[in-house]
Formats: sequence, structure tokens, C-alpha cells
Amino acid sequence: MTTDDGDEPLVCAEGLATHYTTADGILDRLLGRGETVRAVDGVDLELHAGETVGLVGESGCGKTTLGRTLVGLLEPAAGSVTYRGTDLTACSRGALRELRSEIQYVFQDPLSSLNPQLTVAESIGEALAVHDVVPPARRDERVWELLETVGLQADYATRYPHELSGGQRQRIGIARALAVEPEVLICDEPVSALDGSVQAGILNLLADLQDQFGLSYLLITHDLSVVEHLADRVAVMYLGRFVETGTTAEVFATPSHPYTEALLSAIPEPDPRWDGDRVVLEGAAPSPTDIPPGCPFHTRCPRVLPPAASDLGDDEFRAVMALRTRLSDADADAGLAALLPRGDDHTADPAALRDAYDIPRQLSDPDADDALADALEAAADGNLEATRTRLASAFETPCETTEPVLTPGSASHPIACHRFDDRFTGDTDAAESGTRSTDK
Amino acid sequence: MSDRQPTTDRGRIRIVGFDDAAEQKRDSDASSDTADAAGTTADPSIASRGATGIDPTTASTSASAFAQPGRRLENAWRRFRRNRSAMAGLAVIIVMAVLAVFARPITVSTAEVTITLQPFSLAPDDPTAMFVGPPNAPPSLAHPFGTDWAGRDQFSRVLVGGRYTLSIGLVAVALALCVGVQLGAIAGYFGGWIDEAIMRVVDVLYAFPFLVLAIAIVPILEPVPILGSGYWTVVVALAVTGWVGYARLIRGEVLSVREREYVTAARALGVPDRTIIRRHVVPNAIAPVVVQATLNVGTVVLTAAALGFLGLGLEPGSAEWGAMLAQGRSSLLRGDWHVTVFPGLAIFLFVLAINLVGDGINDALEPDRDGRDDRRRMR
Amino acid sequence: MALLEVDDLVVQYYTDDGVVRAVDGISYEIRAGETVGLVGESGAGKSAASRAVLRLLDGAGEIVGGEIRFRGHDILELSVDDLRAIRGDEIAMVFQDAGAVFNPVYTVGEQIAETIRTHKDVTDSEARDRTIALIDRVGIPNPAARYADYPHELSGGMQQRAVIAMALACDPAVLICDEPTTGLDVTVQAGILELLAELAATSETAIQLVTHDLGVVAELCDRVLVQYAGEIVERAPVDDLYYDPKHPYTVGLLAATPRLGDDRERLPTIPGTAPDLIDPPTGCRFHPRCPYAEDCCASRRPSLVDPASGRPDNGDPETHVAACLEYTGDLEAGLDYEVQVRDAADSDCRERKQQGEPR
Repeated sequence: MTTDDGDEPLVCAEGLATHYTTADGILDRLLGRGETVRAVDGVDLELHAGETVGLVGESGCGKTTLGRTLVGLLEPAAGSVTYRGTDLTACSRGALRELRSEIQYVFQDPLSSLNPQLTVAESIGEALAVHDVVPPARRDERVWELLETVGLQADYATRYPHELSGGQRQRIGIARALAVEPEVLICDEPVSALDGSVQAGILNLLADLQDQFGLSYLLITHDLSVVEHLADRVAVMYLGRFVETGTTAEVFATPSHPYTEALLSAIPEPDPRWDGDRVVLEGAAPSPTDIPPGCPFHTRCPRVLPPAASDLGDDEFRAVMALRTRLSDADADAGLAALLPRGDDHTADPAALRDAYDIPRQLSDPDADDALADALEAAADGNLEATRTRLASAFETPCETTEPVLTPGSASHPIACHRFDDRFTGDTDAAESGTRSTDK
Repeated sequence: MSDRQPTTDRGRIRIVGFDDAAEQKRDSDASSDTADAAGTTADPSIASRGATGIDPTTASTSASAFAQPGRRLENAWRRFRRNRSAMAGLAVIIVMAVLAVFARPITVSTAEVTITLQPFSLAPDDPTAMFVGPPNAPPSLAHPFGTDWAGRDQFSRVLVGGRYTLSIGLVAVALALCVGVQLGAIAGYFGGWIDEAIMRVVDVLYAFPFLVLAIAIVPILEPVPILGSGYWTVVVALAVTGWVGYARLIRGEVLSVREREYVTAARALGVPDRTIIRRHVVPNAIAPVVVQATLNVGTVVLTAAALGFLGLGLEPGSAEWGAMLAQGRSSLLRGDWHVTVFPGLAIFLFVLAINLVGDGINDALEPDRDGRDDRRRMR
Repeated sequence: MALLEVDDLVVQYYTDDGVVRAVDGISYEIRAGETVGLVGESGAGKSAASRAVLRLLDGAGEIVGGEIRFRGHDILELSVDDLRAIRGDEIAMVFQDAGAVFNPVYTVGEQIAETIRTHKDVTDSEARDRTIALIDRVGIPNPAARYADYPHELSGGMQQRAVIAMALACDPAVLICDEPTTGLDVTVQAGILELLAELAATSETAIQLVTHDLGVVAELCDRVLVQYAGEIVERAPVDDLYYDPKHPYTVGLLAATPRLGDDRERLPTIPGTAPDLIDPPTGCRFHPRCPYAEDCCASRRPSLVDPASGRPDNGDPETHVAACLEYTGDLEAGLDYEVQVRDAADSDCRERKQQGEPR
């Protein structure tokens, strides 16, 4: 994600990818067992001085991995991270240790990120000692200063983490990160382990520190209200890739990526009279070991595009896609029972299947209807494999064949979705109205 | 009410005024806080009283946070003290140790001078002096534990024998801990081929029964000159066989501690690996090893006794409890029960006490081991 | 008569540092079919209060006073067998950590069927059929196949749905949900909330929802109880609580909640930290953190009163009551806050609620 500003970014990641392997031990690795988890898969990110970039997504989407790769806790598999023009991935160990003090990390759970055996002063003092920020004689003094900076009294220095409340611990975590005088703080869910009233205090503190020291933040969180409150720009991440980037206002306004829409609509509103529409995504995110082809979101997307050649309505097509998704989840030998909602209902006829998935008895495109009828006959005979292949060929969406690129397309900011690509939608108005229709 | 119409807008309700009031209160609090702080620094005795949580009238949150004393060890000691059987075990060990130390005078002699380090002598006779009484005499007032085949005073021998047995147990375990904890921590923290190499050695050593391995090692070690006779050979043999258990145990613990966020946090700060292991990993992984080591003191004492019984290790005739048992075999057949019962009882009592203490340490350390970090998921 | 009545419940935990009064004399009732939220910060004793209903307190906790009446019978007086008959059958619980509820060595379906067999006189195949129906009802696709899945084979959201299915196994009269969506992704949470809302709407099951999330409460609940430091400080129908909060703590909680579409520069915060329940503050427990606190707050303990009249709680669960000295006329400066509601056109239609002008 990039901005048009002329100034050079503080931190810049290009084509960054981080992979894990599930292989366990040398033997597994030698035998080539284990799968590759593509936790971060080709991400471009720029962070400018004094700005806050929000990074949002569900758990398992690779937000934390990206953050940890940026601080150098994880080795990237591809791509580069540069800090003020220096490529961190090419740095020597010694140089890297020096640079490390410029990018610091604030952890989600302040209790587990503080050593229970060390006092507050020892934890913060360690950071001071490692990089020799201040001479040993002045260390205590500096610890007190730092505590004051994060809004704690100096007498907290002698306490142990378990004697502090959650909010106080998070303040210690922030003080420790600030001890080495960094320019960039990567805050990984800094408030999600805290109570509401305490959250507000930490968020205010982060804002104050930014004003005071001109810090840049990468704010990793699943809570969009926090992002909206603090961030200047937002990147939405799904399965290791950015699906939408832009200024906070752009991303939070319509139109946006269907995934962003779902994330936004899912936030419970603290207003009993709120009556907005809610997009509930089907199922859980696919495993990052097995990322769906094409648009990674197409398996859960409520707005999958119909094939360009067909005349199918969006609703019809989505109903067929739901059937296809279920088919791909079902075991081949599970039979028809896997497709019908109730296990004990074995009236195997195509009409029942159509009803179960809200597919109209007659599709508006006759060719498509023939193909569907054919496939459903196969399903009624229990031949799920045949159904699967027939549906796949007749109802192939561009979302599963072509990977969308993160470009503005017809939208005002970069969105990786075919709906904003003229090649797939024909005209831009359709895309615009398509996404707006939910805001009724 | 008109303003409670259903809406699709978010962020419709807003509360104002609360923050202003809170701000005002904070300002007034801040001034009183600085006054408090000044008072605290002016009078350190009050501060320390608050810190130990003795002062019950201080109801503020800061004092209550101090109510739980900070150090984990202090907490553990408090819990340990409340455990009666463990305290009884500890008392038995202390009494045995004191008896062993004060049984005979300890002297350090060089060519010219002899310095007496410990002049007391609780044991009535020299344990090596023969025929201080009739051979194989049953317990009597003069010889409360009777005498052995050479007429040596059993009571003196049991007291002095404690020196060997207790110190073999403690020294061997301490040596094994030094080796095992370091190797295990390194293996667990770094992983990879270092881990594979160390753990395969551990696996090989584990393939032998403990006692058999010790029996095999003693003859190998005996010709080594510095080890000298008996005592050090036994200690080294027991340490060599003992470290594998600690290494394996601490490796497992380190594997989980290594994944804790405070270790990651230290790495993010650029703390060198050596310091991370020393400050962050080992202190948080050591608890189960300490428990295991304590319990192992008993096992090691038993093994030392078994080695002595088999005639390995200490030179024959020395007042080691196991060796005494071995020599008593023949007397036992003749019906002279006292020759074996008293050293046996001493071993039994010591091992029992060690086990009680080990359980006590286990209970004292256990509550601090939490599963909170298990919540970590890959995000 | 209410389905579940909790009267002056006191729960204590015995710790190394002293006796923690996690719940200190709370009373509430739940009627058939309604959804009641119990809100508060962590450490307010919400979980202790709801676990006490089934006498499920862990080792160090003990119910030391009060009554919990279910259909008129005091649960605290029940024999172990009678209690077991109620647990899971009449009153069921949904815990926060779905992963820890199921035993990893049995399949999810077997464990739900087990619950049914324990309480109902059914054959194995009937139990199986009912289980599959339940799994289907909570929105897990392909129920027959999922019956044979082990817990770890389900995703977090599906596990939580399965836990709800298990809780519903015997059509309980009361379902106690302890932070049912905490720790789940918002997208998954939305699905669970939808399920609970549908459950509340279509069945006669009463739900007691314990949570710290005011958004979740607004979505699901009919009435709300606000708990602070072991006491209930405010009780109100859900609309009244959000549009007209009366207790300063509730006001602070609502003010501090970050909302989408909100353009405030700084979020208001409640100063200070939650009190230590070993030695709670005297008087009103909120007074050390309350921006409106006056001297009398430290000495007098407020009780739940009707804010309009200042009369004590009349026992009708629908009335709005709050425990603040303001409403008995003891505060001099009053509570100075305002609830603003912006209407759709964003022309500020404000309702000034200046309470207790200086007398």
C-alpha cells in the first residue's frame, strides 16, 4: 500500500512474503513432509513518519506475522523490508541489532509479554541496557521518566507484573518499547485483551505519544472501531494478502471490498435501536496452507460475480455457488445426505435440492438451467463427483479463475476485487450499484 | 421518544460531560498524589510498611497491590511453610545434617599445622576404631545401636556415615543439575541440529537402567587419578547418569517457555540469546526441575547405598550407610539384626524426608505455573 | 413468579491474600423467554455470579449467603442428585472457552447425545437423531457428518455453536451464556449473535448473557444489569440504559466505548482501576473513580432506587433503578452529563439531560 506523498517512507515493505512449514523436526523436513503455510503472501506496505496505518483482518489472516516480519522476529521468504532506505533483509547481524531499536513491538497480552520474575524496572532497564541508551548510573532515573511518560507513578518500578492491572501492564509494555527511543511502534492488538474503559485510556496514550514523539504506528487489530479512531490509513488483510487499502475515510465509506463490508457490518453497535444490515460470512476462513485459487475470498464472498457470458441474476448465481461450496466440502462418499440440511431427509430429487439452496425452479439463463438440471440429476443418483465437475464447468466465476490485483480500478482507492475491474463487470455503474444496494 | 427511532447509522449515541468531570477530578487527584509521593519519600519506614502489606488501614489500590509480596520465591516459601509434612521432612534433613557435621571433629591438616574447623564430637567413638566393644553386641547403654563384627560402635558409624551419604546425594545432584540444565536449555532454546545432537546423547544414556549405568561407569572412573578413591568416583558416576533426566525435563519446559511472548519481546528488543536464556528462559523453566532434583536426592542416595552394597565405590569398611548394610549381610544371617537395621533406617528416614520436601516444593511452586499462555494462537 | 430469582447472593473466594467477596449481595430475576444482560468489567464478579446459579464455583469459591430460587425452589438447598437433574436439563451454561468444554477424545456428537441420554429417557438412536437435529439447528452445515467429528476438527466458531447445541440439548428453561463470543472474530461473533437472537425470539428459553461488550448487549438483551465490584449498580430495560443511563459508572462505560462513525478526538475514560475486592472502598464502591463523587459518597452506601422518584426499588424488574446517592438527593453538585442522539440527517437533535442542578 502506497501513498502519493513525495516524502520517503520510514518503513517500506515490497512483495513481502513469510512462510511457515508445518514440518516438525529434521526427519520430517528430510522426508519432505509438512505443508507450507503462506501466512504473508506478497504484501507492499509503506509507513511514513508520524502516521498511523491500521492493519485489520480476522485471526489467522497473517496480520501478526506481517508485523513480526517487519520487526525482524521472522525471516521473510521473499521481498524486502527497508528502513529509511536500508534493506533490513540484507543487513548484517550487528547492523540489524542497531536498527532494531528503531522499530519496536507492543504485544497483545501484556501479562504474557512481561517476564513474571522481573520487576517493572528490570524489564524496562533491560531494554535500556541492551542498546546502551543511557549510562548505567542514569538508568533508574530514565525508567522513572518513562513510567511518567506512559502515565504511571515512579513507585511502580519495583512491582512485578502480576501486581498490576491489565491497563497498567500494557502501559509498561509501551514504556519498554519506548525505552530504546524508536521511531516506529508496531502495536499488535494493543487493547483487545483489555476492558472497555481501560482500552480508551491506552488508545488516548498512544495518540498522545504520537503527538509528543512523532512516532509512526502500525496498528494491528481486528477491531475496526479502534482503527477508525486512530488510523490515518487502513489496509485490510485476508489470507496473507491485502484486499483493500486507502485512507481511513475511503475504506470505511462505500464502496469497498465485500470482505471489508462484512467486517464492518459485523461489529455490534452499542445502540439497541440500531437496525443496520449485517453480512454474515459463511464458514470460517480457509486454511493458509491451502489458499483458494483466484480471489482467495471467493469461497465466502457474498458477491461472487457471475460468468461474463451468462445472463444469470446475482441471487441465482450465488445460490448455485452455495451449492458448489457445500459440494466441495462434502466427502465424496457421504452421498446426498451431505447436501441436504437434515440428515434424515433422503427424498432425493432435484427439486428438493433446489429448494434447499433457494435456487429457483427455473434459472433465467436456459443454458445454465440445463446444466444445473443435469448436475442435480447426477447428485440425486449419489454421484457427487460428477455433480461437482459439471457445476464447476457450467458455473465458473471469474473470481475463482483470475486473481484480482490491488488497483483502484473503478473505485477511488485500491481494492482487490473484480467488481471494480471493468473487464469483468462491463460497466462501472453495475459495480457501484452492486455494492451500494446493501446500504438500504 | 422521538430520538429512539430505529436507525442504520452508527455512532448515534454520544455522551458528553463525563470526560470533563473526570478531567477535573484527575487534576485535583494529581495534586494530592504529588503530596502523597512527597510524604512517601520523606518517610521511608511508612513506605516499607506499605510494601510488606502489614499496615491494614491503607485501603488504597496501591497498597493492596503490595499486599501480595512480590517475589515468587517468597510466595513459594510461604506456601511451603504451611505444608506440615514438608516442614517435618525439612526438619529431619536438617537434624541429620547437623548430626553428621557435628559427629566428629573436622580438621584440615597440612604438614606442619592442623586446623580444627569443628571441635564438637557427638559420636562417642571413632567410627573406624575397632573393638571399642564386644563384636556384634546388641544395643546397650554404652552402644545404643550395638556394635558390628569388628566391635566398632554402630551409633558413631551411622552418625558419621551421614556425611558421606548426604553429601554424595547433594553434590551429585548439584553436579548433574549444572550439566543437565545448561545442555537441556541450550537444546530447547536453539533447537535444530544442536537439539538433535544433545537429545540423541540423552536418549542413548536413557537406554541403560540408571543403576546398571552407574555400575558400569564406576570401574571406568576408578583409574582416573584426580578422582582418587571411592567418594568422588561415586559422585561423578551418579552425576553422569543423573544429568540426562534434568536435561530432558528442562528442554521440554524451555520449548514452551521459548514461545512465551516475553521471550519474543526480549528478542524484539535485540537482547542477546545468552542473556535471554539466563534471564528469561531458565528462571521460568526451572521449577519442575528443582522439584525433580529434590526428589532425586533420595534416589541418588539409594543408588549410592546400592553401589556401596555391591562393594563398588567407597572403600570397604568406610562408614557409608550402604557399605554398612553390605557388611551387615553376614551378621543378619546370624540374627544380629541391629547391624543392618540402623543404617537401613537412616537411609529410609533420609529418603522419606527428601521425598516429603520434594512434594512440598512441588506444591509450593505449582500454583505459579499457569496455563494462561496456552491461549496464544497463530494470528 | 419469575423463573429464576437471585436474592441477596454473596459469593466469596478464599485466596492466599484474603477473602475476596466477588459477589456482594446481588438480587435479580429472570422471567421466561427474556434475555437479560449482566455487564461489567473483568473482576466485577459477573462470572462468579452466574456460576453460582448452578453451584459451579471452582475450588476456592463458596456461596456464603442469599437464595437462588428456580421455579420457586432454592437451588442452594437442593441435594446433589436434584441439582444434577437441573444442571444441563433446566439450566444450561455456555462457557467462553468453547475449546475447553468438549473432551478431545470423544466426538462432538457423542458428547451432546450423552447429555440427552443423561436427562431424558431415550434410546441411543433417538438421542443421535436429536443431536443431529440440534447440530443443524445451531447452523452447523452437514450435521450428520459433523456428528462424528472430534472437537479439534471444528473451527472456533463451529465449536462455540456446538457448545450452544449441547446447552440446548434438553430444551433448558434458562441458558446462561458466559462471554459466549469473547475471543472470536467479529465475523464469527456476528453469526453466533444471530443464532442467539433467533433462539431468544423463537423459543421460550430465558437467556442470561454475561459480557463486557456493550455492543453485544445492545444487540441481544431485553433488560440489562450493570455490575460493579460485586454489586449491581444499575438495572434498566435495554433502551433506557443506552439512551438514558443513570449511574455514573454506566455513563462512563458507555462514554468510553469506541463506536464506528464517531469523530471524537479523544475517548473519555473512567479514571483509576477496578477496586480490590479483598478490601473494597467504603460507601459507594465507585466513589474513588467517580468524577462526580462528593464527601458523602465515601461514607454512605447507596441502594438501588428509582431515579425519578428516589423511592427504593419496587421489585418490578422493568423499572429503571440505579444505586447512586444523587437520586436520594444527597449530592450537592449533581451529575453533569448529557446524552446526545444524532438523527439520521445529522442535524443535532439533542436532548439535554442535566441532572440534579446545584441545589
